[in-house]
Amino acid sequence: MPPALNAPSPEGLVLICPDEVEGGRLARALQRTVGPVSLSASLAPLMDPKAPLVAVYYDGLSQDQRKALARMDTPAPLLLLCRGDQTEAFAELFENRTANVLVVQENGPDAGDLLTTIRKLRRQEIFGMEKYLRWGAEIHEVALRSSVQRAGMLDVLESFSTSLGVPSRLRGLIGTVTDEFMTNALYNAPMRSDRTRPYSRRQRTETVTLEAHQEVLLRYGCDGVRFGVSVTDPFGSLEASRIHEALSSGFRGAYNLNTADGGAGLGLFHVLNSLSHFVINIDPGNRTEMIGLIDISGAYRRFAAAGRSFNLFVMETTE
Amino acid sequence: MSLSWSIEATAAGPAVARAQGRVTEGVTFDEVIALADRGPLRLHLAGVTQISSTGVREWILFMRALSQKPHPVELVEVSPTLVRQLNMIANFGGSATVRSVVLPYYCDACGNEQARVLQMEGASSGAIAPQIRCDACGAEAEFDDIAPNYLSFSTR
Repeated sequence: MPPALNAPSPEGLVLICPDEVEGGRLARALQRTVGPVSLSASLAPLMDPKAPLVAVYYDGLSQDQRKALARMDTPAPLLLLCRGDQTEAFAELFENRTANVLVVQENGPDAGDLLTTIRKLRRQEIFGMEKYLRWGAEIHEVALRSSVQRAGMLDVLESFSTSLGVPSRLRGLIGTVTDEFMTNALYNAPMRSDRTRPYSRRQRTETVTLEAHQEVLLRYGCDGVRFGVSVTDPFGSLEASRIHEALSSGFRGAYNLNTADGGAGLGLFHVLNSLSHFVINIDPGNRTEMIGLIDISGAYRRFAAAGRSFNLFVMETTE
Repeated sequence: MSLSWSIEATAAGPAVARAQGRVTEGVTFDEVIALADRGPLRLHLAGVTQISSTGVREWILFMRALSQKPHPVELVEVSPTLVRQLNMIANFGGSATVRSVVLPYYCDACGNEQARVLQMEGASSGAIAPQIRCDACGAEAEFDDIAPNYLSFSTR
C-alpha cells in the first residue's frame, strides 16, 4: 500500500549544502515535510543512482561546486532549492537537463509544493492543477477547439479575476499566461502521425480548428492565495530539449527571436517570467499539461520580489 | 481588448499616437509607422496593459521600422507592462527615446491602484517616491514594483 501523502517518507532525502548552519536550518524545515533529511557537503550523492531523492540548496554552493554541477550528467532530474534570482546560473543549468527549481522562503520551501514535487518525482502521477491549489478550490473548465475562442476566454478570465479583487497588473499576467498556454496548445502542440506539426508555422492571426478528439482543456481557479490556470492538450508533443533550449537562451538574454512566421520563440520564457510557479507535465505522445500559478495574496510588488519556481515532469514513455 | 491607436494631429511639434489595450499577434502598426515618415513622432503608451510573446516580436519589429525613419521617436508615459519588457529585452525600445514612464502605486489598506508619471531626464531610481497618499482612502499607497530595478533599462 502506498504511504499516505503527509506521512514522513521512509526513503528520506539528502540535502546538499556545504554550510552546516544554513543547511541545518533548511534540513529541519524540509524534515517537517518529507521525514529524515541527511546533509551532504559534497555533490557526490547526485551521482549515486541508489541514493534517495537528492535536493541541492543552490545558494549554499561554492563557485567551484556550481561550475561542477553545471557540467554533471546526473542520473535523476535536479531538484534545486534557491532563495533569490539565479538567472545566470540557470542559463547553464537548463542548457541540457531537466532542473526542478523551488523557491525557498523564510521558513523553507512551500511545504505543499515540496510534497507535490517529491511525490511527482517519485511516482508517475504528474497531472492535475489541483495538486497546487488548496483543497476545496473550485476549478472551472472549458474545452477549446478553435483559436477564435481565445479572445473570449481572456475576457472571461479578466472578469473572473476582477471579481476576486486581483490587482490589475496581476490580472495582466494571468491574461498573458493564459493566452500563451492556449496559443501553444492550439498552434504548436498538434502533431500528425508522421510527426509533422500542421499549424506551428501559421501566423497566430490565422484561425486553427481542431478535430473533436483533439480538443484542449483550459482550467482555472483560485484558492485565495494562488490563481491557477492550466491548459492540457492530447498530443504530448512538447520535447524537454525544446524547453531547455528556450529557457536557457531566455536566461542568457539571448532571445532567438523568430521574425518570419508562427510563434515568436519567446513564449516559454515569457511565461516563466510572468508566474510564481510554472509547471510542465508531459506524457510523451499522449498529453501535455502546462500549469501557471500566480501569488495573488498581495500587491504586484510581492509577486515581483519573490523568486520563480519551475518544474518539468516527463513520464517514462509508454509507447 | 486588442491594441488600438488614436492619432492626434498637431499643428506644431511631433505627431502623437496613443495606444490602448493588449499587444498581441493581431496588432497593426502601419498607420503609426507612416506617421514617422512625415516628422517627429511621440507615442503615448500608458494604456498598454498586456503583451504576449508574439506581441513582443511585433513590437520589436515596429521599433526596428521606426529606427529606420529619418525623424526622432519618443516614448512617453510608458506603462508598467512595457517598462517590464524594456528591462528584460535589450532592444525592446529600439532607438526611441524614453521621455517618461508610469509609476504604479497600490494601497494595501483599500486596494486602490493609482499612478504617477516620472520624467526620465536625469531620473534615477531614487526619484521614485516609495509612498504617495492614496486618492481613495488617504492611507499610504506604496510603489508597486521593485524600485531599484524599475528604471534599469535607462542605464544600459
